[in-house]
Formats: sequence, C-alpha cells, structure tokens
Amino acid sequence: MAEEETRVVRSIARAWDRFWFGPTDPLPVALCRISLGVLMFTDFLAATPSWDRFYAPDGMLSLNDPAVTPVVQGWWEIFWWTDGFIPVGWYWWGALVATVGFTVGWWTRFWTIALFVLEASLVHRSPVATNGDDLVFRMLLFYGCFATMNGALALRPCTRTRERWPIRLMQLNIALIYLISSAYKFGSDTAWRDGSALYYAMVNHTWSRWPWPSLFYPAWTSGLATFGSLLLETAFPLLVWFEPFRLPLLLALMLMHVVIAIVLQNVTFFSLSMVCGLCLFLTTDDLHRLRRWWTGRVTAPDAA
Amino acid sequence: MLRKSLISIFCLLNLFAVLWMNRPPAVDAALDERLAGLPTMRAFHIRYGFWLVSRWAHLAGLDNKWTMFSTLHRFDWWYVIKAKYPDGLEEVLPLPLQSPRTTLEHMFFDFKEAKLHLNMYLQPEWRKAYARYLCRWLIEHRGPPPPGVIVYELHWQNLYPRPQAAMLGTHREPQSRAQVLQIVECPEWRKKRPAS
Repeated sequence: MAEEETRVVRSIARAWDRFWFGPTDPLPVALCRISLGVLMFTDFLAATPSWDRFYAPDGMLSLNDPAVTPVVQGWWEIFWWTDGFIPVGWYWWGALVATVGFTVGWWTRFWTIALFVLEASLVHRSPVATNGDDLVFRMLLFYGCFATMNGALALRPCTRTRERWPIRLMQLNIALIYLISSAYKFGSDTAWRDGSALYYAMVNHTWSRWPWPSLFYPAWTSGLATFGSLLLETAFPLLVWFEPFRLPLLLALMLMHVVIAIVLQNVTFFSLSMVCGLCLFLTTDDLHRLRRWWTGRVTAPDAA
Repeated sequence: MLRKSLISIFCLLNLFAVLWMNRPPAVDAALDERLAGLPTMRAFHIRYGFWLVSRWAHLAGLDNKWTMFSTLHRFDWWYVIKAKYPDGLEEVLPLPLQSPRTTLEHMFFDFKEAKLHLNMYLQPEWRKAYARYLCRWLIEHRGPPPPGVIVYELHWQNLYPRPQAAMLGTHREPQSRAQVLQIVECPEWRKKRPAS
C-alpha cells in the first residue's frame, strides 16, 4: 500500500515537473512578444491626445484639487517618485521606445520590466481611464518579467534553454480569465441563459458597430451566437490542455476575438490583446502546419 | 529542489491571487460565517493572510475582476456633459462621444472614451473630478468668462427584449429619456491666481 502511494506521489511530482519546468518553446513566445509589442505601440499611439488628460497630476483625476478626494497614489507607481520633475508626457515617449525595444527583442527583459512598471503605473494613476487591454498587458508583462521572451525572432536572442513556468503562468491566467468570466456570465445575467446576450451586445450603440442589428432579432441567430461563444469560452480553459482539442479551440477562439474586434467598438484593443495571449498556447509545430496550410491554399489555384 | 519548490509556491500564490480576487460574494459570506466561530486571534491571522494575498495581487497587477460583458445593459445610455455660464448660457462641451469627430478620432483616438464613461457611471467622485478638470481646461483654453457649473445629463433609451424586437422590427423604444445626474461647481482658483 505504502509502495503504491509512493508511486502515485512520484508520478504526480514528475507530471508537475514536466508541466512547469519543461523547456520553453521559443517561437510561439516570440510571436506573442511581437504581436503584443505592436499592439501596445498602437495603443500608446492611440492614447496620444488624451495622455495628459488621463495621467497628468492636474489631469482628470487631479492630485492637486482640494475639492476632490484624490485617487490614492503609492510607491508602487513610477509617477509617485517622479511627479514634479519628470512630466508625464516623457513617459509617453518612453513607452514608444520601450515597445519598439520589446517588439524587436533588443534588451528584452529590461524593456519588459520597464513596460510592466509603466502599465501598472498608468492603471494606478488613472483607474477611470483603464480598459481591459491595459489589464491584459499588465498581466502578461508581469509574468514576462520572469520569462525568456526573446528565445527566437529577436535582435538579441537568448540561446539558453529556459524553463517554461512563467509561460505556464501566462497560459493559466489566460485560461482563468475565460473560466471566471464564463461563470460570471452564466450566473449574473439571464440573457446568457436564454440566448439573448449577443442580441443585447449587438444592438447596443455604445459597443456595437455591426450595421445589421436586425440579424440578431431571431432566436436562432442570437441563441447560436450566445451559446456558441459561451461554449467556446467555457470549453477552452478545460480542454486546451488536451492535444486533440488544443489547435481547433485555439483557432476558433482567436477567430472569435478578431470578429469581436471588428464588430464591437471600444473593445478592439482588449480583444486583440487576448489574441496575443492565446499565441502562447501554440507550438512551433502548429505554426509550421499553419504555414504549410496557408502556402498550400495560396499556391493551390496556381497549381490547378 | 529548493529552487523548484519556491518557484512552485510562487506559481500557486499567483494563481490563488487571481482566483481570490475573482471570488463570488458568496465566498466572503461563507468565510465570515466560518471565521465568526474561531478564536479572535486565529480569525485575525486568517484575515490578514487573505489581505496579504490581495495586496500581492494589487502589486503584481493580478487584481482585476474578469467579468467581460457578464451583465448586459437593457438600454442604450450616454452622457451629455454641458457647461453652464453665470449669464445663463449653456454649452454642450466639444468632447468625444458628444461632438462631431473625424473617422480617425472615432475609430482610433477615442478608444478609451466609452469605458471611461462606464467607469464613471458608478463613481460620482470621479465624475466630479472630471468636471472640475473640464472647468480648468475651459478657463485655460477659452479664457473668460469661466463656467459656473458642469452638468452631467444622463440620457437613455430602452432596448426591447429580443422577441418584442423581432415582432416590432426595431430594437429601441422610440423615445429617449434624460435626467440631470450631477451638477458640479467650477473651482474659483483662476480668480485667485496672480495675473501673468
């Protein structure tokens, strides 16, 4: 009996070791880094006209207005240390430089840490201006501080084989986002249970830029879209760990996010940031397979 | 071995932090009930432990609640933010989401505005701070006369339930409604400033 227990404990320990401490597959991580870097660069560009309004000490959540209770500022925020002698506008330039360095894989860890500190500072300085994409960036960058993000496709690649626990943390956190939000959806709003959730999302003028809302009036279209997205978001975190389901689920979810980025407004960056995170579930083999499939698709008509 | 053990603890801590920050209210209620039956110091230590986890989640940036469209509005809503001047003049401020915008502004630069309004929806203090920012902005960019107050009007238009929309062929009630949500007085600071 004791021998049996020891065997079970050992096999669990081996599985644990394989799961967390196996080698990182560098190509998908590089793909995540590049897509994330490009997206953050674009996000910072889009924030240009509003930067001072959101983040300056005398911006919309002023630290100097005696009539307003200021948002608590703490040491865990770069602005707290530099208010008064570094204008927040300089951080915008810093953000652009950092995202370029991060994207091309030059001094990658340094820029990852710098971007994490900056993202965390932006969120703490102005929670009112925080979007979902800021929170996904911050989460990925936090784990990225421990990861080797420049194992491939980098100007200064790291050639050492690194353990994948930081990448596993990113993957598990992404999976948890879907699991948690699915539970909230199912429990919070009857529209997710009666199939009308996507109807309400697609007819709401704040979120939707879908030009034909009447397409979601019939029960079957709204129900299909509601239950389809809910099923996908619930199945993904549970089944992505099993090989036969991984790639189909991943591609379906990426497609869903790209569609959301197109048809819903104001959540485009968030939806695309999730796609960046989903890249971490790919493998180098997947990427080669997808490339072969794409090349075959493009060259097939010529061959015919 | 020690290194791997420490890393494993770190990984578990982070995953627990995410789950803890996303716990449903029922967990808090159940925990309170359990802790009420424990000796005071023990209950204190457990609460302190959970506080430390929350603090770590905050520092590591893992403290978000991932609800993602879990509750959907049954109405379209929008603010109309106005400045009222002492002479009675009223102006709809030229802000994103309530003034003509170029395609680039609408599609690209205004990407945070809708969430900004949503974040302010339940936070009167943030609306007040934003209004006072707008006062300062108007005084700095327009000069006198300074606005007296900033008014937030909340407009909404109910959405029909889906079966009714299918029957009527439209998803919005014909009439929108409005109410004054908040009035914020502008600061007097400009008058106290020495002339430059």
